[in-house]
Amino acid sequence: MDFLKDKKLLFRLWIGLLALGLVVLAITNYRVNFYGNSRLLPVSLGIFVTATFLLGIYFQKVRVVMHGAAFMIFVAAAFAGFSNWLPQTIGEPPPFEEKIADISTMSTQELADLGEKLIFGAVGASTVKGSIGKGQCPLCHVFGSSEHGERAPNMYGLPDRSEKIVKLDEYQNRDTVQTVAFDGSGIAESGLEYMAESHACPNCYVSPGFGKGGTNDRESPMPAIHKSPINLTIDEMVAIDTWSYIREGLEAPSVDEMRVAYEKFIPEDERPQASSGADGEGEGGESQLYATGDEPLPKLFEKAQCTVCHVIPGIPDADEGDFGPELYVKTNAPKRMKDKNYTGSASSVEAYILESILDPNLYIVPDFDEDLMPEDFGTGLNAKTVFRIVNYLSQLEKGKDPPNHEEM
Amino acid sequence: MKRLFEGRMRNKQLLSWLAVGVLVGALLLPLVISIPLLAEEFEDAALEQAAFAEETLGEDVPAQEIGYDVHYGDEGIVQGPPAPVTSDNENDYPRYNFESRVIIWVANQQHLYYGSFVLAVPIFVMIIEFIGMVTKDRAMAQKYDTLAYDFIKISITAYSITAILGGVLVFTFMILYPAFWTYMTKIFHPAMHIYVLLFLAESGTLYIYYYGWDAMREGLLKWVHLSMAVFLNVFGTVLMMLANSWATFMMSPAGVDAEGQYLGNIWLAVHNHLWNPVNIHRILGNMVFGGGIVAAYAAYRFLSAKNDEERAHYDWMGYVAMFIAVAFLIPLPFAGYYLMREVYAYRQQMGITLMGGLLAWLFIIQAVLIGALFLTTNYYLWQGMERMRGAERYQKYIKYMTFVLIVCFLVWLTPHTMVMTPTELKEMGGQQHPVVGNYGVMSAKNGAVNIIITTTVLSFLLYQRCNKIPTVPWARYGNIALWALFSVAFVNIIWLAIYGYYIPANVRVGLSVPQVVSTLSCLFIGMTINLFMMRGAKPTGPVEWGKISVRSQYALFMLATSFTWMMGLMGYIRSSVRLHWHVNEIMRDNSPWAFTHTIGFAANMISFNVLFFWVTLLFVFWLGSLGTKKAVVEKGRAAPVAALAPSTN
Repeated sequence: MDFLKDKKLLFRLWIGLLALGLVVLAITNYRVNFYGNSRLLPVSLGIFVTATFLLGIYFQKVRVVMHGAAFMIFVAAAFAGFSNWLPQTIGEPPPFEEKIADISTMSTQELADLGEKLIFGAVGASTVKGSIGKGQCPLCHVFGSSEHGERAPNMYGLPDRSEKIVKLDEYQNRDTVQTVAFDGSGIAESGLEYMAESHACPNCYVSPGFGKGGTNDRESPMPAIHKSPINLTIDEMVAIDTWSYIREGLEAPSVDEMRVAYEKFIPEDERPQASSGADGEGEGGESQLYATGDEPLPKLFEKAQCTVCHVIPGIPDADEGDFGPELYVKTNAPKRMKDKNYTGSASSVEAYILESILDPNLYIVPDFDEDLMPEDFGTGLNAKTVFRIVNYLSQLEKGKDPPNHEEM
Repeated sequence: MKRLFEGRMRNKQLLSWLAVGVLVGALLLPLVISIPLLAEEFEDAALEQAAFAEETLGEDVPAQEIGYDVHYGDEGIVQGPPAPVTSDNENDYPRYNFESRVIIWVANQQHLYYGSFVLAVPIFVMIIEFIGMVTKDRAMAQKYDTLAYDFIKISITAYSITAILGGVLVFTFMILYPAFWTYMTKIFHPAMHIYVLLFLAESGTLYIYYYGWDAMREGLLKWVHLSMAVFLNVFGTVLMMLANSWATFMMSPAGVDAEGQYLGNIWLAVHNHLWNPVNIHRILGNMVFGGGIVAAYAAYRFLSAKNDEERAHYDWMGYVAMFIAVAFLIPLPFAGYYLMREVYAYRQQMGITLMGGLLAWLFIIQAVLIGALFLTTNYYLWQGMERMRGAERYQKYIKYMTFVLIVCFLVWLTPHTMVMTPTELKEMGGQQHPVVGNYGVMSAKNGAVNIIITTTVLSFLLYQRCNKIPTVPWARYGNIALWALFSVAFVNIIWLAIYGYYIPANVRVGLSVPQVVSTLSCLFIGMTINLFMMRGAKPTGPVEWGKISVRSQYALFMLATSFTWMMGLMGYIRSSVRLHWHVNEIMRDNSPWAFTHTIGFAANMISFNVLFFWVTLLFVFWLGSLGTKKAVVEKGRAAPVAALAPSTN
């Protein structure tokens, strides 16, 4: 054991071991946090920087390589760290198309709700910035009465404006790259027809200033929304138009009138059919359920969309929603069930939660909006999911630590 | 005498071209034979299909199905199956206990890094060999020749690794994404065969080029040798363009109908909407990347140099490589702008997803990277002034330039609008920040980035003048002209940036043109005036290569790492803009990994790829250093590349 007497060598051995330990630590961090908390991964890079730098100091032969490497890892760590510090958003793929019910049996309000869902992704989402639905309209259009559309016209006031546009000379004598939707379709003669035409044939008339760059407003940047990639059916477009009328307090034309308007501009072979996914399984096998019920609790709450509006104590990343009350249900439910405004019939915390999921408007917590919580959770969540939600929420008490969600 | 010499040269060149023509012809022969065969096979297949249909269906044969090209609108006979509709199962998406997308991500990125490197290096080698051949100073000529040889040696190992990684990538596709891969091969198989044959031709040329270096070092043969470098680069570029066509087909498919059925014209599928913009962007990008790697290699050799001669040699090499990288970095944003314009022209939604939607933050990161690159370049140039006596005159300007660069950098990376949570929106009172939001608009940013580039040009101009005092009689007017040029440019850029706030967006877009013109005028007119002014200038001392701070070499590491990181980032952006599509709007990604990861996750992956690449590259460099020929370096001799570096005359 002669080398143990060589102090320099021994010291190097220790440094080597320390560096090795750091490397192990860094790799462990990578393994543990790869998916769960990937924001911590640049920490591993930071540890690598220290390890390589240390090795460089005490192992002179590889000093240049080690210091160069340490610096490069440092640069990569800085960029990765910065990127992880920025707000993080996951882009979920759009759900498979749902088959919509027969719209002629829907009430006008139901139809308008469907329209809102197609535009913004959910009923009530038209007031939430950044919401977007299958139609993808808000990607370019704005909808508020005082907003200014930079990419495309503001959709507020569309029904009125359409009536005026069809009478304009510029509309009647247009000079766009495609002046009619298809041979023999003719042009729009009413506001309603104009709305249908502009969806089916955006090039037929381009609002001044909103044409594709360099085309002098002869060509529109908008895709025909009954075609790929958006693929709205006529019924879906009817729903969207209905919403456009209703939300401005106007009376919407009948479903039949609107269908006729669309059929005028979309030839039969171009009309997309609703997919046959009514039994809960889409074409690609994706369920219309929000969650399967087998997810870890944080994921389950996220998929069930609870975290969008509620703070759920003990659940990571469920600390921002402020459209709904914080869910200290074990503390709050007993008080609320006694409240004079309470119209439900629950007598236990669990029953109260269940009731609130199925029929959210039975009791509105003071200071929160009515009708904000969707009423379709009853059909979108399966029994297993609901059971686990109720089980967890019913144990949340103010002033006490939340239960460990990993064990539930 | 001169004429005779020129005549001889021309004959030599002519003969060498002929010789290379024969050689390359032989290499390309399999390709030439195979193309008509492939085409025939194709027609046969269509006919066979029709005959088979007739046989099995009797007289009720439907007329050949006609489809319409999803992009070009052309009519064509359907010749392939529709794009498969996959679902989340083991057949369509076989998997290990890990995210398949991450595996393919690493395989792809590593192949791309090495591919870019081996495409860029032969271009450098060609240029350096050529400079060596036309340099009159024999010692210098020898030095260039050795440098070129050293590079091609490195790229030989890298070339094998590229091929291995290509194999890994193909197998990964076949194993993890069989449905997608089958679909792609059904459309692209003729192009894929051509790809393989071209690869063969490239390998042949490369091996002859490398192993024949010594045998072909004199006279006519040297010209033959150089001409082979030209072919090598042509093959390499065509190879890359073919591979690009598959990637861009996935973004902007053409040559198929809306169901994804192949319509029989392979050219349309290859020549899809985004193909050429990506080609141009990638060629420039490769050059920048290659320059960055060589610069880092030189920095490493500089830092581990044993004596002054080595230090001088590698300092010079690092400078040349950095210069090449930055020279190609300057047009790169314009190529990027062209690509982005074509993306918008192809699908506006795709453009918005990139610039104002889900992926917008990634462009903020890109802005940080670009800013860091320019700051580092300037820093390196300022450090490089230490090599020259007489540079003190200009050092007082550095602090002002630093200030300008940092202010512009901050404006440049201020975001405009972005995806926010409702809480954040409420807190900020809208999509834009009340104060900072004012700087996040295009008007301010165009101004900022133009000032950054112009300041970099100024730094370079000062660098060139460091060790010289102009002696031309019009030197005074020349200086006044330069002052005026840069002042007018700065005023024009800033004024237009301010004016842009007061006019509507569609007019504002037009302002970027005069701004860019200002920047380019400084670059070209300024450089030209300076070059003429420095003719016969009185030197204040030689360029003392090797006399540069250690910090400057770390700036080269910084450049190399940033280039590598940026390439990973932009590649990720290009690929992820397809969102949940394998082939945009034609074949949907139904795997569990169809979602888009957070930018943090992406950044971690990019960092991993960057570091993995550099670790393996270290191995390649180490191989290259085994038995390196000693470069003949004369002590204290300046080693300028024509017009690239200040000369000592």
